[in-house]
Amino acid sequence: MRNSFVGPILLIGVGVLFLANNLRPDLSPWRLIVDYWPYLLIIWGVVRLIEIAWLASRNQPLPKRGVSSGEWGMIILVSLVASGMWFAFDAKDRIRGGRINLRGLQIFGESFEYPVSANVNCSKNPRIIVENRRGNVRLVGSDADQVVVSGHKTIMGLDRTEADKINERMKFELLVQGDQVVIRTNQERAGTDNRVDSDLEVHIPKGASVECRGTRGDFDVSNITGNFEVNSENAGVRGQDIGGNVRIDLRRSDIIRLMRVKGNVDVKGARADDIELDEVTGQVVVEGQFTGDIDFRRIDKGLRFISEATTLTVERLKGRAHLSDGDLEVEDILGPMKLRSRSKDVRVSGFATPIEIELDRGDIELSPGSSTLSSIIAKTSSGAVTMHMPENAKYDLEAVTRRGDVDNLFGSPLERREEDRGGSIRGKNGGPRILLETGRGSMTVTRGGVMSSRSDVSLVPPAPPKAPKPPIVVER
Amino acid sequence: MPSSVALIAAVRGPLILITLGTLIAIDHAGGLRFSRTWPILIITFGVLKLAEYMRGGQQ
Repeated sequence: MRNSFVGPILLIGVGVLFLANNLRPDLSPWRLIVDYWPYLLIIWGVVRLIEIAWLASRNQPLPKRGVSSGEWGMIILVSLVASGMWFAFDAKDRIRGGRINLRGLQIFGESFEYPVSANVNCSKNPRIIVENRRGNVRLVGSDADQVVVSGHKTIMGLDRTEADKINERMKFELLVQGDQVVIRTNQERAGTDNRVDSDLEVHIPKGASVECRGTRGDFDVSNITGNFEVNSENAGVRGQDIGGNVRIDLRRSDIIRLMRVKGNVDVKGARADDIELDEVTGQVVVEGQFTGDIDFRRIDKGLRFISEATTLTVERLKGRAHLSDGDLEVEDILGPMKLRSRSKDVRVSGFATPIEIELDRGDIELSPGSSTLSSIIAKTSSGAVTMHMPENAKYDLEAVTRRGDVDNLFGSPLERREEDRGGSIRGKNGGPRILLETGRGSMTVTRGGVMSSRSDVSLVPPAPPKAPKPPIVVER
Repeated sequence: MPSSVALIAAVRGPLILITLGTLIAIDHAGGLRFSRTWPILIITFGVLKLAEYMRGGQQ
């Protein structure tokens, strides 16, 4: 069609997609297309509507068809390719589980529910194994030495007789094998044509260890003194008051939330959204690809976070470390910290221990928590660096920008010098080495009081008004 | 102003496209499967056709 916005808008869209891929390398553009192509159709339609409304309001002749046949052809092509890829992605996620179950197979039918209830006596410290392919499971520790299961299964079927048959096949099992209690929903016996879910609520002895295996569904465990293990394709995991270690191994997850864990925490998620860890007495290792918000609080024995673009280690985290899209904020740390990232704006406050930061891109802002400093190395290839120096600190400071403004708001004895297109701030009074470096961006050292990271009131005196900067000279 | 018949005819394609996109989006979001909701497309098409005839009849 002539005079249409759709062509240019598609072009812009393709540009934005590749730009997004360049800025956020952890997101694959194919994944974005596969996840969001239905919205593309909606936008396409809306653009067309706007066009027609615009033509109508200007009394211009309307096209005979709002969407030309060529366009319909293209829409069908886009739909086929995108849904094909969607199935492929989906299948890839499933095949790893050992079974293929195409979704959308359930064209007709409705869902039927069957109650589940069972209980069995067991030892004080049993090992509980939960095998549930689809559905949510909640396990709660209690004082009784028995395992009590209640809940229901949902079976999709053409009619009740079919559902009854499937229910017969997937008999619920609660078995005691020595020290082990197995909870099994046997969904795989239902076959692949009918979708089945089992949602369970399980009361277990407090001293239990729990191991959960599944494909799709959430696991929620609270109040146990043993270990907690999850192995699933796609799961939301919640754990509260866990006495032992926690191991989580997932291919995909929307949320992982753990609170008050006494042991170590080990999270492996190939693709996960949000992670929240609070009060972990042991060590924490988190590894995977993450797209949402990540929040660590009060990690006593050290934190290791590894994603495609970022590696962060903090030996003791008293406050909080928060990672989101393009930001990393760390508050109150009691041990050395090391960060290596491709692209993040980083703020670290409330620290007295050695710090090492290396970024390819992103700003760095440092606010030490005491006037006794340790060695600091902070480098970014492109981004502004700001250091709030405590007033009475001892230091051996070298702050360099190869290209950008230099601001010494600390004053003497620090010396500011302009060099070539950048500059430096240097000065020492017998303290630890502080090396700040940016390839391109401003370098600022301010006179800060001791920053108290938790309060919103900053103790830094307001900076004196800056002289207007000369316009940036563009290299010719 | 172009006639309302022409307007409805022109708007039909985009509206169906939007409906299609919405149904697939609902499917992907884990709601009702497209394999169950597709008749809505036919209904939308029918309603728009009906509107067109009724408008045409008045003129």
